Amino acid sequence: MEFGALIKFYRTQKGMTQAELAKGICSVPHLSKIENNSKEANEETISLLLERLEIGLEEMDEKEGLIQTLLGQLGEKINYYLKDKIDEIYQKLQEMEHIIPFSKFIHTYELYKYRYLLFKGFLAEAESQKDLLFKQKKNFSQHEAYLFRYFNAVCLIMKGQYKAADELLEALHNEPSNETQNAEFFYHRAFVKGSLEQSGHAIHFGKMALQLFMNEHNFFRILHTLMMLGINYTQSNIYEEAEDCFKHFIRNAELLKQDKLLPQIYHNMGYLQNKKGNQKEALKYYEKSLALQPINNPHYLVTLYSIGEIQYLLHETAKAKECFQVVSSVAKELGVKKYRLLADFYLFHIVSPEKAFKYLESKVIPYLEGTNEHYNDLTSFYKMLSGFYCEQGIYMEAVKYLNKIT
Amino acid sequence: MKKALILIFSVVLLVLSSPVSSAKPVNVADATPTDHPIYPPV
Repeated sequence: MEFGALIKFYRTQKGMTQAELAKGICSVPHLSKIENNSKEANEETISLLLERLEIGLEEMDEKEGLIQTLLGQLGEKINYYLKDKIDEIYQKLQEMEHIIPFSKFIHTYELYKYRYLLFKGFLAEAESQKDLLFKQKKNFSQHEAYLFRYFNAVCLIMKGQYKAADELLEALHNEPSNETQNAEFFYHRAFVKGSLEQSGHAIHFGKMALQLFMNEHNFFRILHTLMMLGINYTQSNIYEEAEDCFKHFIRNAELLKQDKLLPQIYHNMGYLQNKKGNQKEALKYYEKSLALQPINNPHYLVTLYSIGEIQYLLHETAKAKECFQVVSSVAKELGVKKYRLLADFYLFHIVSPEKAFKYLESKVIPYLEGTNEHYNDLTSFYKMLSGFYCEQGIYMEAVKYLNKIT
Repeated sequence: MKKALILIFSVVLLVLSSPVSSAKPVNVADATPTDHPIYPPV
Protein backbone atom coordinates (compact mmCIF):
# COMPACT_ATOMS: atom_id res chain seq x y z
CA MET A 1 0.00 0.00 0.00
CA GLU A 2 1.26 3.51 -0.89
CA PHE A 3 0.72 4.97 2.58
CA GLY A 4 2.19 8.41 1.78
CA ALA A 5 -0.35 9.11 -0.93
CA LEU A 6 -3.11 7.56 1.18
CA ILE A 7 -2.34 9.81 4.17
CA LYS A 8 -2.20 12.89 1.96
CA PHE A 9 -5.52 11.96 0.34
CA TYR A 10 -7.40 11.50 3.63
CA ARG A 11 -5.73 14.52 5.33
CA THR A 12 -6.84 16.76 2.42
CA GLN A 13 -10.29 15.20 2.43
CA LYS A 14 -10.67 15.93 6.13
CA GLY A 15 -9.43 19.50 5.62
CA MET A 16 -6.47 19.10 8.02
CA THR A 17 -3.13 20.89 7.68
CA GLN A 18 0.17 18.98 7.87
CA ALA A 19 0.88 20.67 11.22
CA GLU A 20 -2.44 19.51 12.67
CA LEU A 21 -1.87 15.95 11.58
CA ALA A 22 1.80 15.77 12.56
CA LYS A 23 1.33 17.37 16.00
CA GLY A 24 2.83 15.08 18.64
CA ILE A 25 3.62 12.34 16.13
CA CYS A 26 6.40 13.64 13.89
CA SER A 27 7.73 16.87 12.44
CA VAL A 28 5.97 18.64 9.57
CA PRO A 29 8.95 18.20 7.16
CA HIS A 30 8.97 14.49 8.06
CA LEU A 31 5.25 14.17 7.30
CA SER A 32 5.79 16.05 4.07
CA LYS A 33 8.47 13.53 3.05
CA ILE A 34 6.19 10.61 3.99
CA GLU A 35 3.34 12.04 1.96
CA ASN A 36 5.59 12.44 -1.08
CA ASN A 37 6.91 8.91 -0.59
CA SER A 38 10.45 10.28 -0.44
CA LYS A 39 10.95 8.81 3.03
CA GLU A 40 10.19 5.35 4.36
CA ALA A 41 8.39 5.90 7.66
CA ASN A 42 8.36 3.29 10.39
CA GLU A 43 5.19 1.34 10.97
CA GLU A 44 4.47 3.03 14.31
CA THR A 45 4.47 6.55 12.81
CA ILE A 46 2.23 5.40 9.95
CA SER A 47 -0.08 3.70 12.40
CA LEU A 48 -0.38 6.87 14.56
CA LEU A 49 -1.01 9.09 11.53
CA LEU A 50 -3.70 6.72 10.21
CA GLU A 51 -5.26 6.50 13.67
CA ARG A 52 -5.58 10.30 13.77
CA LEU A 53 -7.22 10.13 10.37
CA GLU A 54 -9.52 7.40 11.75
CA ILE A 55 -8.19 4.75 9.37
CA GLY A 56 -6.99 1.40 10.72
CA LEU A 57 -3.67 0.03 9.40
CA GLU A 58 -4.89 -3.55 9.56
CA GLU A 59 -8.10 -2.55 7.82
CA MET A 60 -6.09 -1.07 4.97
CA ASP A 61 -4.05 -4.25 4.61
CA GLU A 62 -7.26 -6.28 4.58
CA LYS A 63 -8.70 -4.01 1.88
CA GLU A 64 -5.60 -4.44 -0.26
CA GLY A 65 -6.00 -8.20 0.07
CA LEU A 66 -9.66 -7.89 -0.90
CA ILE A 67 -8.77 -5.83 -3.98
CA GLN A 68 -6.39 -8.58 -5.05
CA THR A 69 -9.02 -11.28 -4.51
CA LEU A 70 -11.71 -9.34 -6.38
CA LEU A 71 -9.39 -8.71 -9.32
CA GLY A 72 -8.59 -12.43 -9.47
CA GLN A 73 -12.30 -13.24 -9.40
CA LEU A 74 -13.08 -10.70 -12.12
CA GLY A 75 -10.46 -12.25 -14.41
CA GLU A 76 -11.78 -15.72 -13.67
CA LYS A 77 -15.43 -14.83 -14.32
CA ILE A 78 -14.49 -13.23 -17.63
CA ASN A 79 -12.52 -16.34 -18.57
CA TYR A 80 -15.47 -18.56 -17.64
CA TYR A 81 -17.90 -16.19 -19.37
CA LEU A 82 -20.10 -15.95 -16.27
CA LYS A 83 -21.97 -12.85 -17.35
CA ASP A 84 -24.25 -12.57 -14.32
CA LYS A 85 -21.46 -12.73 -11.72
CA ILE A 86 -19.18 -10.23 -13.42
CA ASP A 87 -21.23 -7.12 -12.69
CA GLU A 88 -21.48 -8.05 -9.03
CA ILE A 89 -17.68 -8.24 -8.65
CA TYR A 90 -17.05 -5.15 -10.73
CA GLN A 91 -19.51 -3.28 -8.54
CA LYS A 92 -17.59 -4.31 -5.41
CA LEU A 93 -14.35 -3.12 -6.96
CA GLN A 94 -15.90 0.19 -7.90
CA GLU A 95 -16.95 0.69 -4.29
CA MET A 96 -13.24 0.50 -3.40
CA GLU A 97 -12.13 2.78 -6.21
CA HIS A 98 -11.07 5.54 -3.78
CA ILE A 99 -8.52 3.22 -2.14
CA ILE A 100 -7.29 1.35 -5.21
CA PRO A 101 -4.98 4.20 -6.39
CA PHE A 102 -2.99 3.74 -3.15
CA SER A 103 -2.64 0.00 -3.55
CA LYS A 104 -0.08 -1.86 -5.61
CA PHE A 105 -2.92 -3.09 -7.85
CA ILE A 106 -3.65 0.26 -9.42
CA HIS A 107 -2.48 -0.80 -12.92
CA THR A 108 -4.01 -4.29 -12.68
CA TYR A 109 -7.32 -2.72 -11.69
CA GLU A 110 -7.27 -0.26 -14.59
CA LEU A 111 -6.33 -3.09 -16.97
CA TYR A 112 -9.18 -5.31 -15.81
CA LYS A 113 -11.54 -2.37 -16.01
CA TYR A 114 -10.52 -2.15 -19.71
CA ARG A 115 -11.20 -5.90 -20.14
CA TYR A 116 -14.53 -5.56 -18.34
CA LEU A 117 -15.65 -2.74 -20.65
CA LEU A 118 -14.69 -4.84 -23.67
CA PHE A 119 -16.54 -7.82 -22.26
CA LYS A 120 -19.66 -5.71 -21.83
CA GLY A 121 -19.31 -4.37 -25.38
CA PHE A 122 -18.90 -0.74 -24.21
CA LEU A 123 -16.47 0.10 -26.98
CA ALA A 124 -16.36 3.88 -26.58
CA GLU A 125 -15.60 3.63 -22.85
CA ALA A 126 -13.07 0.88 -23.52
CA GLU A 127 -11.28 3.15 -26.00
CA SER A 128 -11.05 5.94 -23.40
CA GLN A 129 -9.72 3.45 -20.87
CA LYS A 130 -7.16 2.27 -23.42
CA ASP A 131 -5.94 5.87 -23.88
CA LEU A 132 -5.63 6.28 -20.12
CA LEU A 133 -3.63 3.05 -19.86
CA PHE A 134 -1.44 3.97 -22.82
CA LYS A 135 -0.08 6.94 -20.85
CA GLN A 136 0.86 4.59 -18.00
CA LYS A 137 2.38 1.80 -20.05
CA LYS A 138 5.98 2.72 -19.16
CA ASN A 139 5.18 1.95 -15.54
CA PHE A 140 3.77 -1.51 -16.27
CA SER A 141 5.33 -4.73 -15.03
CA GLN A 142 6.02 -7.43 -17.64
CA HIS A 143 2.73 -9.17 -16.87
CA GLU A 144 0.78 -5.90 -16.98
CA ALA A 145 2.38 -5.01 -20.32
CA TYR A 146 1.30 -8.42 -21.66
CA LEU A 147 -2.26 -7.91 -20.43
CA PHE A 148 -2.43 -4.47 -22.04
CA ARG A 149 -1.37 -5.79 -25.45
CA TYR A 150 -3.62 -8.83 -25.19
CA PHE A 151 -6.65 -6.71 -24.28
CA ASN A 152 -5.78 -4.40 -27.18
CA ALA A 153 -6.01 -7.44 -29.46
CA VAL A 154 -9.45 -8.23 -27.98
CA CYS A 155 -10.43 -4.60 -28.64
CA LEU A 156 -9.32 -4.92 -32.28
CA ILE A 157 -11.39 -8.11 -32.66
CA MET A 158 -14.45 -6.32 -31.32
CA LYS A 159 -13.92 -3.52 -33.83
CA GLY A 160 -13.64 -6.08 -36.65
CA GLN A 161 -9.97 -5.24 -37.33
CA TYR A 162 -8.93 -8.87 -37.60
CA LYS A 163 -5.69 -8.41 -39.52
CA ALA A 164 -4.26 -6.06 -36.90
CA ALA A 165 -5.53 -8.34 -34.10
CA ASP A 166 -3.90 -11.34 -35.77
CA GLU A 167 -0.53 -9.56 -36.00
CA LEU A 168 -0.68 -8.57 -32.35
CA LEU A 169 -1.66 -12.06 -31.15
CA GLU A 170 1.06 -13.59 -33.33
CA ALA A 171 3.64 -11.22 -31.81
CA LEU A 172 2.50 -12.13 -28.28
CA HIS A 173 2.59 -15.82 -29.14
CA ASN A 174 6.19 -15.52 -30.35
CA GLU A 175 7.42 -13.95 -27.15
CA PRO A 176 9.35 -16.24 -24.80
CA SER A 177 6.98 -15.91 -21.81
CA ASN A 178 4.37 -18.59 -21.06
CA GLU A 179 1.56 -16.05 -20.81
CA THR A 180 -0.13 -17.18 -24.02
CA GLN A 181 -0.46 -20.87 -23.08
CA ASN A 182 -4.07 -20.53 -22.02
CA ALA A 183 -7.43 -21.46 -23.47
CA GLU A 184 -8.76 -17.92 -23.89
CA PHE A 185 -5.71 -16.86 -25.89
CA PHE A 186 -6.10 -19.83 -28.26
CA TYR A 187 -9.83 -19.13 -28.50
CA HIS A 188 -9.15 -15.56 -29.62
CA ARG A 189 -6.51 -16.74 -32.07
CA ALA A 190 -9.03 -19.17 -33.55
CA PHE A 191 -11.64 -16.40 -33.66
CA VAL A 192 -9.33 -14.11 -35.63
CA LYS A 193 -8.11 -16.82 -38.01
CA GLY A 194 -11.69 -17.87 -38.72
CA SER A 195 -12.73 -14.28 -39.38
CA LEU A 196 -9.81 -13.92 -41.78
CA GLU A 197 -11.10 -17.05 -43.53
CA GLN A 198 -7.98 -19.02 -42.62
CA SER A 199 -10.04 -21.99 -41.50
CA GLY A 200 -7.17 -24.47 -41.21
CA HIS A 201 -5.42 -22.27 -38.67
CA ALA A 202 -8.72 -21.55 -36.93
CA ILE A 203 -9.39 -25.28 -36.52
CA HIS A 204 -5.87 -25.82 -35.16
CA PHE A 205 -6.21 -23.11 -32.50
CA GLY A 206 -9.85 -23.95 -31.85
CA LYS A 207 -8.97 -27.56 -31.02
CA MET A 208 -6.25 -26.39 -28.62
CA ALA A 209 -8.71 -24.02 -26.95
CA LEU A 210 -11.37 -26.74 -26.72
CA GLN A 211 -9.01 -29.16 -24.99
CA LEU A 212 -7.91 -26.55 -22.46
CA PHE A 213 -11.47 -25.34 -21.81
CA MET A 214 -12.49 -28.97 -21.24
CA ASN A 215 -9.63 -29.43 -18.77
CA GLU A 216 -10.90 -26.48 -16.75
CA HIS A 217 -14.60 -27.46 -17.15
CA ASN A 218 -15.28 -24.11 -18.77
CA PHE A 219 -18.69 -25.05 -20.14
CA PHE A 220 -19.79 -21.79 -21.78
CA ARG A 221 -16.51 -21.39 -23.58
CA ILE A 222 -16.69 -25.05 -24.68
CA LEU A 223 -20.00 -24.16 -26.36
CA HIS A 224 -18.51 -21.08 -28.02
CA THR A 225 -15.52 -23.06 -29.25
CA LEU A 226 -17.76 -25.81 -30.65
CA MET A 227 -19.68 -23.18 -32.60
CA MET A 228 -16.46 -21.70 -33.93
CA LEU A 229 -15.09 -25.10 -34.93
CA GLY A 230 -18.38 -25.92 -36.66
CA ILE A 231 -18.16 -22.73 -38.73
CA ASN A 232 -14.55 -23.39 -39.69
CA TYR A 233 -15.15 -27.04 -40.57
CA THR A 234 -18.00 -25.79 -42.78
CA GLN A 235 -15.71 -23.26 -44.43
CA SER A 236 -13.17 -26.03 -45.04
CA ASN A 237 -15.86 -28.32 -46.51
CA ILE A 238 -15.37 -30.85 -43.70
CA TYR A 239 -19.08 -31.26 -43.29
CA GLU A 240 -19.32 -34.32 -41.03
CA GLU A 241 -17.09 -32.74 -38.40
CA ALA A 242 -19.11 -29.51 -38.66
CA GLU A 243 -22.35 -31.40 -38.12
CA ASP A 244 -20.85 -33.19 -35.09
CA CYS A 245 -19.82 -29.86 -33.54
CA PHE A 246 -23.28 -28.38 -34.04
CA LYS A 247 -24.99 -31.48 -32.62
CA HIS A 248 -22.78 -31.43 -29.51
CA PHE A 249 -23.51 -27.74 -29.23
CA ILE A 250 -27.30 -28.11 -29.31
CA ARG A 251 -27.27 -30.96 -26.78
CA ASN A 252 -25.06 -29.05 -24.34
CA ALA A 253 -26.77 -25.69 -24.89
CA GLU A 254 -30.06 -27.29 -23.87
CA LEU A 255 -28.43 -28.81 -20.78
CA LEU A 256 -26.91 -25.47 -19.80
CA LYS A 257 -30.13 -23.63 -20.61
CA GLN A 258 -28.27 -21.41 -23.09
CA ASP A 259 -31.33 -20.82 -25.26
CA LYS A 260 -29.98 -17.43 -26.31
CA LEU A 261 -27.33 -19.17 -28.38
CA LEU A 262 -29.81 -21.37 -30.28
CA PRO A 263 -30.67 -18.79 -33.00
CA GLN A 264 -26.96 -18.47 -33.75
CA ILE A 265 -26.44 -22.20 -34.02
CA TYR A 266 -29.51 -22.66 -36.24
CA HIS A 267 -28.16 -19.92 -38.48
CA ASN A 268 -24.80 -21.67 -38.71
CA MET A 269 -26.50 -24.99 -39.44
CA GLY A 270 -28.29 -23.19 -42.27
CA TYR A 271 -24.93 -21.91 -43.42
CA LEU A 272 -23.62 -25.50 -43.40
CA GLN A 273 -26.56 -26.79 -45.47
CA ASN A 274 -26.19 -23.88 -47.89
CA LYS A 275 -22.51 -24.69 -48.33
CA LYS A 276 -23.44 -28.32 -49.00
CA GLY A 277 -25.84 -27.12 -51.70
CA ASN A 278 -29.01 -28.09 -49.79
CA GLN A 279 -30.70 -24.72 -50.17
CA LYS A 280 -34.15 -25.81 -49.06
CA GLU A 281 -32.75 -27.41 -45.91
CA ALA A 282 -30.68 -24.26 -45.30
CA LEU A 283 -33.79 -22.14 -45.63
CA LYS A 284 -35.52 -24.17 -42.91
CA TYR A 285 -32.69 -23.59 -40.47
CA TYR A 286 -32.40 -19.89 -41.31
CA GLU A 287 -36.14 -19.44 -40.79
CA LYS A 288 -35.98 -21.33 -37.50
CA SER A 289 -33.17 -19.01 -36.42
CA LEU A 290 -34.97 -15.87 -37.57
CA ALA A 291 -38.12 -16.77 -35.65
CA LEU A 292 -36.13 -16.74 -32.39
CA GLN A 293 -34.41 -13.38 -32.96
CA PRO A 294 -35.45 -9.82 -32.12
CA ILE A 295 -35.64 -7.60 -35.20
CA ASN A 296 -33.27 -4.83 -34.16
CA ASN A 297 -30.24 -7.02 -33.95
CA PRO A 298 -27.16 -7.37 -36.19
CA HIS A 299 -27.58 -11.17 -36.23
CA TYR A 300 -31.15 -10.75 -37.50
CA LEU A 301 -29.71 -8.87 -40.46
CA VAL A 302 -27.26 -11.64 -41.33
CA THR A 303 -29.92 -14.34 -41.14
CA LEU A 304 -32.48 -12.39 -43.17
CA TYR A 305 -29.84 -11.51 -45.76
CA SER A 306 -28.91 -15.20 -46.06
CA ILE A 307 -32.59 -16.07 -46.57
CA GLY A 308 -32.82 -13.37 -49.26
CA GLU A 309 -29.82 -14.83 -51.09
CA ILE A 310 -31.31 -18.33 -51.09
CA GLN A 311 -34.73 -17.10 -52.21
CA TYR A 312 -33.00 -15.31 -55.07
CA LEU A 313 -31.10 -18.47 -55.90
CA LEU A 314 -34.39 -20.38 -55.96
CA HIS A 315 -35.85 -17.68 -58.30
CA GLU A 316 -38.36 -16.59 -55.64
CA THR A 317 -37.76 -12.97 -56.61
CA ALA A 318 -40.70 -11.45 -54.74
CA LYS A 319 -39.73 -13.14 -51.47
CA ALA A 320 -36.09 -12.21 -51.97
CA LYS A 321 -37.04 -8.59 -52.64
CA GLU A 322 -39.04 -8.46 -49.42
CA CYS A 323 -36.05 -9.77 -47.44
CA PHE A 324 -33.55 -7.36 -49.01
CA GLN A 325 -35.86 -4.39 -48.44
CA VAL A 326 -36.06 -5.16 -44.72
CA VAL A 327 -32.30 -5.83 -44.53
CA SER A 328 -31.56 -2.53 -46.24
CA SER A 329 -33.75 -0.49 -43.91
CA VAL A 330 -32.73 -2.28 -40.67
CA ALA A 331 -29.05 -2.07 -41.66
CA LYS A 332 -29.47 1.66 -42.21
CA GLU A 333 -31.11 1.99 -38.82
CA LEU A 334 -28.38 0.00 -37.06
CA GLY A 335 -25.56 1.61 -39.05
CA VAL A 336 -24.33 -1.71 -40.50
CA LYS A 337 -22.96 -0.51 -43.83
CA LYS A 338 -21.96 -3.88 -45.23
CA TYR A 339 -25.44 -5.40 -45.24
CA ARG A 340 -27.06 -2.20 -46.48
CA LEU A 341 -24.74 -2.22 -49.50
CA LEU A 342 -25.20 -5.93 -50.16
CA ALA A 343 -28.98 -5.79 -49.89
CA ASP A 344 -29.14 -2.71 -52.14
CA PHE A 345 -27.01 -4.52 -54.71
CA TYR A 346 -29.60 -7.32 -54.93
CA LEU A 347 -32.47 -4.82 -54.99
CA PHE A 348 -30.84 -3.11 -57.98
CA HIS A 349 -30.21 -6.48 -59.59
CA ILE A 350 -33.88 -7.40 -59.45
CA VAL A 351 -34.69 -4.28 -61.49
CA SER A 352 -31.64 -3.99 -63.74
CA PRO A 353 -28.48 -6.14 -63.69
CA GLU A 354 -26.51 -3.38 -65.49
CA LYS A 355 -27.38 -0.88 -62.81
CA ALA A 356 -26.58 -3.44 -60.09
CA PHE A 357 -23.12 -4.14 -61.46
CA LYS A 358 -22.35 -0.44 -61.71
CA TYR A 359 -23.40 -0.19 -58.04
CA LEU A 360 -21.25 -3.19 -57.21
CA GLU A 361 -18.21 -1.57 -58.82
CA SER A 362 -18.72 1.92 -57.46
CA LYS A 363 -19.94 1.19 -53.92
CA VAL A 364 -19.83 -2.42 -52.74
CA ILE A 365 -16.39 -3.50 -53.96
CA PRO A 366 -14.55 -0.31 -52.83
CA TYR A 367 -16.11 -0.76 -49.38
CA LEU A 368 -15.22 -4.44 -49.10
CA GLU A 369 -11.70 -3.85 -50.45
CA GLY A 370 -11.28 -0.97 -48.00
CA THR A 371 -11.99 -3.14 -44.99
CA ASN A 372 -9.37 -5.76 -46.00
CA GLU A 373 -11.45 -8.47 -44.34
CA HIS A 374 -14.14 -9.90 -46.62
CA TYR A 375 -12.14 -12.05 -49.03
CA ASN A 376 -14.87 -14.61 -49.70
CA ASP A 377 -17.47 -11.93 -50.43
CA LEU A 378 -15.01 -10.17 -52.72
CA THR A 379 -14.12 -13.36 -54.59
CA SER A 380 -17.74 -14.13 -55.40
CA PHE A 381 -18.39 -10.54 -56.50
CA TYR A 382 -15.26 -10.55 -58.70
CA LYS A 383 -16.56 -13.74 -60.32
CA MET A 384 -19.96 -12.13 -60.89
CA LEU A 385 -18.41 -9.02 -62.44
CA SER A 386 -16.08 -10.95 -64.66
CA GLY A 387 -19.04 -13.07 -65.84
CA PHE A 388 -21.06 -9.92 -66.46
CA TYR A 389 -18.33 -8.26 -68.55
CA CYS A 390 -17.75 -11.50 -70.40
CA GLU A 391 -21.42 -11.58 -71.42
CA GLN A 392 -21.11 -7.98 -72.53
CA GLY A 393 -18.04 -8.81 -74.61
CA ILE A 394 -15.87 -6.42 -72.57
CA TYR A 395 -13.11 -8.94 -72.04
CA MET A 396 -10.44 -6.61 -70.68
CA GLU A 397 -12.69 -5.75 -67.74
CA ALA A 398 -13.58 -9.43 -67.29
CA VAL A 399 -9.88 -10.31 -67.11
CA LYS A 400 -9.25 -7.45 -64.67
CA TYR A 401 -11.66 -9.00 -62.17
CA LEU A 402 -10.46 -12.54 -62.79
CA ASN A 403 -6.92 -11.35 -61.98
CA LYS A 404 -8.13 -10.00 -58.66
CA ILE A 405 -9.16 -13.48 -57.53
CA THR A 406 -6.19 -14.85 -55.65
CA MET B 1 6.15 -8.92 -72.09
CA LYS B 2 5.26 -12.07 -70.15
CA LYS B 3 2.35 -10.28 -68.46
CA ALA B 4 1.04 -9.03 -71.83
CA LEU B 5 1.15 -12.56 -73.24
CA ILE B 6 -0.76 -13.92 -70.25
CA LEU B 7 -3.33 -11.16 -70.68
CA ILE B 8 -3.80 -11.90 -74.39
CA PHE B 9 -4.03 -15.61 -73.67
CA SER B 10 -6.67 -15.00 -70.96
CA VAL B 11 -8.72 -12.84 -73.35
CA VAL B 12 -8.54 -15.49 -76.08
CA LEU B 13 -9.62 -18.17 -73.60
CA LEU B 14 -12.51 -16.07 -72.41
CA VAL B 15 -13.66 -15.34 -75.98
CA LEU B 16 -13.49 -19.02 -76.85
CA SER B 17 -15.29 -20.15 -73.74
CA SER B 18 -18.22 -17.76 -74.11
CA PRO B 19 -19.78 -17.83 -77.57
CA VAL B 20 -22.07 -14.84 -78.07
CA SER B 21 -24.77 -16.98 -79.63
CA SER B 22 -25.32 -18.93 -76.39
CA ALA B 23 -25.00 -15.91 -74.13
CA LYS B 24 -27.55 -15.84 -71.32
CA PRO B 25 -28.27 -13.12 -68.80
CA VAL B 26 -25.87 -13.11 -65.86
CA ASN B 27 -27.48 -14.87 -62.97
CA VAL B 28 -26.16 -13.60 -59.66
CA ALA B 29 -27.34 -16.80 -58.07
CA ASP B 30 -24.95 -18.82 -60.25
CA ALA B 31 -22.03 -17.36 -58.34
CA THR B 32 -20.72 -19.05 -55.21
CA PRO B 33 -23.00 -18.20 -52.28
CA THR B 34 -21.32 -15.67 -50.04
CA ASP B 35 -20.26 -16.76 -46.57
CA HIS B 36 -22.17 -15.28 -43.66
CA PRO B 37 -21.77 -17.37 -40.53
CA ILE B 38 -22.53 -15.87 -37.12
CA TYR B 39 -19.57 -16.07 -34.79
CA PRO B 40 -19.82 -16.81 -31.05
CA PRO B 41 -19.10 -14.03 -28.53
CA VAL B 42 -15.57 -12.59 -28.31
